[in-house]
Amino acid sequence: MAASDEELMAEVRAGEVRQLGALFDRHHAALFRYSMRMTGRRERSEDLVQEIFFRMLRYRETYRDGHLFVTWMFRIARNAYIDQARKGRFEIVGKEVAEPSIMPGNEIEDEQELALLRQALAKLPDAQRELLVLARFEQMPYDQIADLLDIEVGTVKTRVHRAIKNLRDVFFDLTGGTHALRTSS
Amino acid sequence: MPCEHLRDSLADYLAGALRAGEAKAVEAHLAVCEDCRSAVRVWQRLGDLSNLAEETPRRAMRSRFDEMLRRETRPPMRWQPWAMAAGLLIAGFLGGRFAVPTPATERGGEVAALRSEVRNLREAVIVSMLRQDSATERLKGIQTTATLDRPDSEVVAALIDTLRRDRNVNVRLAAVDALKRFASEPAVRRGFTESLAAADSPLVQIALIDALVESRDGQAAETLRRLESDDSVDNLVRQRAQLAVERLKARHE
Repeated sequence: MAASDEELMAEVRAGEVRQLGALFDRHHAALFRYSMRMTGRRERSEDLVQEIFFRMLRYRETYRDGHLFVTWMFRIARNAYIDQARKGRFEIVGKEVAEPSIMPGNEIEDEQELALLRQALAKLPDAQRELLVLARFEQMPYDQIADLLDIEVGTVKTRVHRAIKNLRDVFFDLTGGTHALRTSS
Repeated sequence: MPCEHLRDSLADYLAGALRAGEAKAVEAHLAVCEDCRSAVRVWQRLGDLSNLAEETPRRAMRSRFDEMLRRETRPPMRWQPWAMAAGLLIAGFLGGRFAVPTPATERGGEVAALRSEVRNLREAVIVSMLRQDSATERLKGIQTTATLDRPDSEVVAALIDTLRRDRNVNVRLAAVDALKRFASEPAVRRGFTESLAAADSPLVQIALIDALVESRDGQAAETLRRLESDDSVDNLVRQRAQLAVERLKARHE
C-alpha cells in the first residue's frame, strides 16, 4: 500500500528529502490550480508552486505529527502567495483572462459564460476567491478550511455563502445586468 | 424557511454534506427562492470552470523541482560575512601572487593546482554570497563574478537562479549585466530567454531583451514575438521586443 502524505512528510522531516518528490507528484497540480486562480498567470503560478515546495523543504521541521499534510501544505501556499503579493508581483490578477465583449440582449454562449465567470472570480477580493477555490476547485471540506484559516466552521459556511452571492453579483454586473448564470448540463 | 436560516444548510447542501431529509428541506426552499437558486447555479458553473484543461501544469515543473531539491540538499556551506571577506582577501592575494611570473625552478604543476584551488574558493564564496539574505551581500557576490574569466557551471546556474528568483529588482538587473559577459555559453542565453518569459518587471524585461539582441540569439525570436503580442505586457517592453525581433532578423539575414 502506498505511504500516506503524512508518512511521506514525516520521512522528509527525518531527512529523507527525496520523498518530497512523491509529494510533489501528488500535489503540484492542486497547488498549481490554486496559484492560477490566485495570481491569474501561468508563469507566476509555476514560480509560486516552486516557492511552496522550496518552503516545505526548508521548513520541514515545522510539520507536526497528527496534522493533515494537505492543511499544512496549503498554509505554506497561502503564506507564499501573501508574501509575493505584498511585494507587488501579482498586481494584475486576472489580466491574462480575455475580456469577453457583451452586447445587451444577445445570448451568451456557454464558453463565453465560463470566461465571464472566470473574469468575475478574478475580480473578487482575495479572501473570497481563495475560499471558493479551496471549497469548490479543491473540494476541501469546510472543517479543513476552518483549520487552515483558523476560524470556526460556521464562519466558513457563512463566508462561502457570501462569496457565492458576491460572485453572482459581479458576474451579473459584467454582463451589463442582462444575464444570469445558466445551470450546467 | 427564510434565506438567512438556510445559509449554513445551503453551504452544506452544495458540498453534498446533508442527510436526505435535510437536503429535501433545502430543495423545497430552492423551489420557491430564485435568490438561493442562483447561488446553486454559481456553484455548479464553478465546477465546470474547474474542469477546464487550462489548469494543467507543464511537465517542465518537475525538472525545476528536481533542480531545486538537488541544490538545496548539497552539503551545507555556511559562510559568515567575516569568513567571506577573509576568503575573498586570501583568494585575491593568492590570485595576484600567482598571476606574476614565477621562477623557472618552481614546478608548474603545483602552481596550476594552487591556482585551481584559489579559483574554486572564489567561486564557492560567490555562490554563497548569492544566497545571503542581504541584497547588498548578493550584489557584492554578483560584482565579484567580474574577477572570473570563465565561471564554472555552478556560478552560472546560481546567477541565472538569482536572475529568475531574486526579490530585489536591482539584484536581478545586476545579474543580467554579469551574465552578459558569459553570453557565449548556450546555458546563459537559454537562461535569458526563460527568464524573459517569466519576468514581471519592465526594467528587467528590457535589460533581458537588450542582452538577447547583444548575444545575437536567434532562438529567442519566438519568446520576443510572444511578448510583443501580449496585451498585458508594458507598452515600452512590447516596443522593445518588436525592435529586437527586427534587429535579430536583420543580423541573421
